[in-house]
Amino acid sequence: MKLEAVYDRGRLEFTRPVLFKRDRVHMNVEVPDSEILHPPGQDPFPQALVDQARAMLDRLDAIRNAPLPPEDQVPEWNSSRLERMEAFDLRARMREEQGRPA
Amino acid sequence: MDLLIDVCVAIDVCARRLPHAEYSAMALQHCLNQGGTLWLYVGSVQTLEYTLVRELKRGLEPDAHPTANGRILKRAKDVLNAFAADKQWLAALAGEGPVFDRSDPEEEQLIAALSRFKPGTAKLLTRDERLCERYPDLTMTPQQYLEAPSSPKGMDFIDLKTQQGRVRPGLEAGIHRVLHHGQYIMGPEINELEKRLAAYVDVPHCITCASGTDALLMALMALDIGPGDEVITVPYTWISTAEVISLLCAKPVFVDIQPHTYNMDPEKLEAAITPHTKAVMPVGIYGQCADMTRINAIADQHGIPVIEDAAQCFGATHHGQKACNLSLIGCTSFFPSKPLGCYGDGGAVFTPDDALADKLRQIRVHGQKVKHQHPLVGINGRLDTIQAAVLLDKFTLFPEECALRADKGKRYDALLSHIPGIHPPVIAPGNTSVYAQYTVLAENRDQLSQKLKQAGIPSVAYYTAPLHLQGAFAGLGHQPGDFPVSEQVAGQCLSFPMSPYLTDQEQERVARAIRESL
Repeated sequence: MKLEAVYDRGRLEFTRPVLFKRDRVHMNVEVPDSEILHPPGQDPFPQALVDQARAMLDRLDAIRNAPLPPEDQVPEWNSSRLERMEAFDLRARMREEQGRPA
Repeated sequence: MDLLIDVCVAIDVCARRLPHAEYSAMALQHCLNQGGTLWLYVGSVQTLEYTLVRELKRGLEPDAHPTANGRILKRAKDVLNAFAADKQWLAALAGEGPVFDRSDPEEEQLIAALSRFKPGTAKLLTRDERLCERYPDLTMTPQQYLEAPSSPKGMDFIDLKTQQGRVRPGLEAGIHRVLHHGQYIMGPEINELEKRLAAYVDVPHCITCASGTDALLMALMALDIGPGDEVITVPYTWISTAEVISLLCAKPVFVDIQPHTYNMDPEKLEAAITPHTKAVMPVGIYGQCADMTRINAIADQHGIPVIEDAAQCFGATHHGQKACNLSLIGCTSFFPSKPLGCYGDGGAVFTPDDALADKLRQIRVHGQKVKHQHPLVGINGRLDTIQAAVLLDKFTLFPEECALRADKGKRYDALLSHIPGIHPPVIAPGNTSVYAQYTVLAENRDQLSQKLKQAGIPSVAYYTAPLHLQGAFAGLGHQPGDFPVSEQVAGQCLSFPMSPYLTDQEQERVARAIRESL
């Protein structure tokens, strides 16, 4: 389905409310060429730097995507962790509401 | 420029958060490529951990396995550990704590932490536009940082920052321990350091003191040197060596140096000995011991004690034995730029002689043997406990750094030995050098130094006026030409950037600049 949205400093906002089934959804976005300063893949930075940055991200991806650790290596997720998680979740949501990155 | 990484930028990279991850990663990499340091604020640890967990949970189905949270936490910890591996932790200081009355204590702490850096040398890397608007001089977005004109780090003559980066956590802990126990004078760190240094040098006694100069002065005082006595030393050295002799109203007697090692020429020693000679004080200049075997042998024949001035060669060896273990008394300096340096003045005296060690310990504390009993005249010569704490931590790297220094010296030799007009230093057979400085003789020294400066390469000419021609020693009546080798070395010596952390590229840059300057 095609929807109209406005890009505003890193965020896409739909012009009409849309209810999604999940919090995070992948979608393809059509962006007018005339609005793009540097098309993706054509950054004005040295290729060596781009490659180094991608290698950095790939290294971290590999750790993130490694097989899940066995049960005995999993840190305990108790109520205090849960409370702290909720507190940081609240922090993140407040910042997002203020238009600030978490 | 250094960058303090805001949580949002760290999470961009750790979670590959689109569309920001690539710019954030490029900014971090660009900083490292420019020789800058990336800092993570200790006070942000929990925020980093839980914000990353939150990001990683985004992809999770709501009915995921009950252990999913724990597994994600483990994964977040692994990612953060990997991310932090090439970054420095910036300690949270007490002064940055009481900010509860601010609208955002977290950002207030980060901004306050920046005030510790020299103005303009560090910025907060953030995507938080509110922060950027409030503190435009202290913040940068990844994009702004990438688009700013590059300013590669200049070459340091002596790079102390890299070493500090390696030991900073221990240094901070050590200094804080002293602040808490409060024994600022002769605290437990002094005894610990003396034990470790004595074991390293393999000498029974190490007596730390307030400076390398005090070490020499205490050594002479321990040998009861005074008016009418003569002490033999070299005219090509830092003034302390001869100054302490004059301070005790004794007479410095100079012996010329060897042209290639720049150390005392043993061939010329015997001729300088008189019935008034009470000590010989050779210097291990620029990181290499003097020919202590021959100097000791000559001094022994006359029953004269030898005091080794190892201020610059601590860590070097002579026929397998360490500097400061080559004569009756060895003295060294912990001046910041020395191979083992503290963050102020410091020094140490080493001796195998029990009675002499006892006397040196008394001299160090106003000649005091027990409280309020002063059988000797002494000095106020104690090393500060905080400096001992610094040295204890830096000492953990010292053996490795000595080996690195030797490698850098050899590499310079290989790069410079074929350049006409440049004469690299010669390491005498049986010696190793710690290259406190890498010093060559350059036939056109001043012109070369000027051209290197224009090329952004620092260089220093040390001891350009030998001591026998200094006003302080005019009373000795020396003339130009009295010590020709010292005068020649003083006129041609030039030291190039040196540290255990000098890179191959930097050494090649120095060599290239030298070749192009001649």
